[in-house]
Amino acid sequence: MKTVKTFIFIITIFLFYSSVIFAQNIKPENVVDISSKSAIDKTKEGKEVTLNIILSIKDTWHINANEPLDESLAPTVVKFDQSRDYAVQSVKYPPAEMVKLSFSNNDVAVYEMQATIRTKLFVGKTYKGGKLTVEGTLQYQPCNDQTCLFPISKPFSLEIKLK
Amino acid sequence: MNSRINLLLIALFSLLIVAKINAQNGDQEAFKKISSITNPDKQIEALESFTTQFPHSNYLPRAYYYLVNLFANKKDEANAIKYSEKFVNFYPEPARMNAYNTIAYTLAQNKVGLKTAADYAQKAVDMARNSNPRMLNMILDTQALVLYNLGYADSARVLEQEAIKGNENDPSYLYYLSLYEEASRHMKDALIHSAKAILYGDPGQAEEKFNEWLKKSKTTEKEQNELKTEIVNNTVDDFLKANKGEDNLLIKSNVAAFTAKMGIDLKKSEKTAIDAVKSAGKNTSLENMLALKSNLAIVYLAMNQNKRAIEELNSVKDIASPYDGDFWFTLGKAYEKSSDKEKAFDSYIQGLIAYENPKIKTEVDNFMAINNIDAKTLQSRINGEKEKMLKFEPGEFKGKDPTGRVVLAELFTGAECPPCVGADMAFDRLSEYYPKNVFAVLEYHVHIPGPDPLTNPQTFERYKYYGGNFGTPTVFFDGGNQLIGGGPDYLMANKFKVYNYIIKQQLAEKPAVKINGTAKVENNKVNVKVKITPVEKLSGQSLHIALAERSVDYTGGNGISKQGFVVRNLVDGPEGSPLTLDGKTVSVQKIIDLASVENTIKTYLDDPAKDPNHSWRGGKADWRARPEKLNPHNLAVVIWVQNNLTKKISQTFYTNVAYEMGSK
Repeated sequence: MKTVKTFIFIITIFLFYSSVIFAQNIKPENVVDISSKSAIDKTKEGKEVTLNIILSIKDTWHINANEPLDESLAPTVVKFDQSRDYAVQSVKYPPAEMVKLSFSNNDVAVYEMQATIRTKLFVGKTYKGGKLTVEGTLQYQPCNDQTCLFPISKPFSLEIKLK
Repeated sequence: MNSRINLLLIALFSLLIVAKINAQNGDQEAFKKISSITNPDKQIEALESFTTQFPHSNYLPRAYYYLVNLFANKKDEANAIKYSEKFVNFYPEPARMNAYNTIAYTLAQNKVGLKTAADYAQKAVDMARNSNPRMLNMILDTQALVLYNLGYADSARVLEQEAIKGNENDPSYLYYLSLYEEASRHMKDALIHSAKAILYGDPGQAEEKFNEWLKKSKTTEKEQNELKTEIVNNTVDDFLKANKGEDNLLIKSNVAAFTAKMGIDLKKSEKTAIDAVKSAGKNTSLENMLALKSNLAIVYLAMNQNKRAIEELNSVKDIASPYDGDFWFTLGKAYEKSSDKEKAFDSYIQGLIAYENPKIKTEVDNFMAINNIDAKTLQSRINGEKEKMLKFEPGEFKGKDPTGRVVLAELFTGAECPPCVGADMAFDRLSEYYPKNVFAVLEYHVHIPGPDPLTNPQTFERYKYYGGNFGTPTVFFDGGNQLIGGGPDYLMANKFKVYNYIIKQQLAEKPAVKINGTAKVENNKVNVKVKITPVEKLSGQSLHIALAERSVDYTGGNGISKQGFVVRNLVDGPEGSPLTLDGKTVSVQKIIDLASVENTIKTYLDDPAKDPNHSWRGGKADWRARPEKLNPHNLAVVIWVQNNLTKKISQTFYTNVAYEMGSK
């Protein structure tokens, strides 16, 4: 798969990509998988959790970055559901990949293959359980060089094991 | 004093922001210039200067990556590693998996800095195993290549065996697995996997390697043939088992192409491939028709009947996708075998126009080296082809409409959608090419990928009518024949030919009803009168009437400034109104109040949040412009009869709306 999968990232950095001869019908929710990795730090007040939300983007597709160059494009945004168990302290989006796609004259700011959103959560003192469930939605809008899909808000539920 | 300091600080802060914005603008221009430099040494110099001049640029990782590549190409290991580290370190530690993988692969490809490549590949594998198993195959694939280049073929084989899990039919994984198997002396496995790679779409060198290894593994020709036959037969058996229940015609044709390539039973392969093409009927999809013809051409090539191979491919050349590398590769090869170098080069260029297909790129690089063609010539030929494609003008339809059918194309598009450009432009040409009593198009705008003020609640309802689960551009011909995807402006000619292929197929189908009608504006109302006469017995039909503007001046994010046949209203909604056809002519009259249509559009544009279809923008009414006024001189009505269950359209009627003098 080198010539397609591994090579894709490299090709996109230079130019653009496509491995689809005929564009296929794909649902926007299937373009991005959401997973997580977390680390826990103890603070005076309680526990601070670093939660990395990992977006795995399907081959040949991209989603707009958090700050797309064109304001009319839907940015990638993570939103957390309100919870008594934690408070969101910070959300840091990854730097955009600046790529030139076959259909555009200018560069576009996108995420491809994988993007990690780094967040910090403060776990409330009242929280008693050993696991913390963080829920929310990820808004994104996918395109490849032949088709664009509807912007979508995909719900996620990520589990953090607290010591 | 404090307020002065505050003002000064604000001013300084503003200057910093302005400076940053300017710097960002400057970096984009500077980077563009660097990208066009062709001399590697000059490009290195410019890139190194860029990285110091714009240390906060978004282009920095790209600059570092270019430098890794350039130094790796020059076999300058120290600098390749230096910029590899800079590239990787640009990303925060938890987000480095891709960066590690990319660099490891680049270094491995160039056989430079392999120890660093091994280290990075291991880090990427660890990260994937920990947090992103979905990417693991791809990353193991890189690690295998690194180890293979370091001389650890056996480890590479084991890694690739894990990498291929879930991708067992992927020709690229199969090819690399066979490469590592051969190097680790598992020759039979290497032959089996390279044969399978050839069947599933040779990524480039599997055929050559198979023949080379076959000669190495057996001394006599007889033994070689016996082994080859055994492997080919087993591969075909497995393929047939795996594809049980799939399109039989295509499967047989694929097998014929494979056996022909392997030089086994050429006569039988030829018969099978010819029969498959002959059996293709009007229900054969465009995609399958191309595959059947390509397979037959492959058989002819194996038989050294190059002229016939070229004829087969040329008969479908117009509808072959520019993204279909295999098609252009085969055509190029056929011309090369016929010693027609110029046409071979032309064919490879066609396969490189839409994107740099790696298989064709490798082939064209070899071709250019043999024929003393430089990279500049290739680029200028590609640019020339694009320009030629942009000038495509189809002329006028001079054929006959044998059945009296009017084909309706319903295009779902978006003014913000870049890949819609090719499709939109193709339909502009098609609507000029065909008279309206042969072909009509309706364009439904939807908010994909961004807000489009030509969308209205009904266009979105129609999108949902067809399932509401597809991207833009997508077109339905007579309620079926769904085609997804477009491309940049220069692919408009190819899109025209592809759509025209479907239109011609549809024109051969006799319409089940006859439709006649008139539409005229009177007192700001469109009076539509329709007569429907069934030609054959029909049930479950609905009458659909759309009001469209033939052309709307509006420039969206994709740069198209004139939007064609924009649907403004669907009388009776996306489902139309039930129609009872009992053999007699049915007359229907509908009045479309233009003020009411405009008011619906206005209300929608005023507060799109009220409409659930716009909710993703949080109701933000950030339109580029509001093209909400209808031009009564510029209207058209399209009437069609459709089965809402099967979506099949029986017939369509198009008329421009007559504008009576004195009408408001």
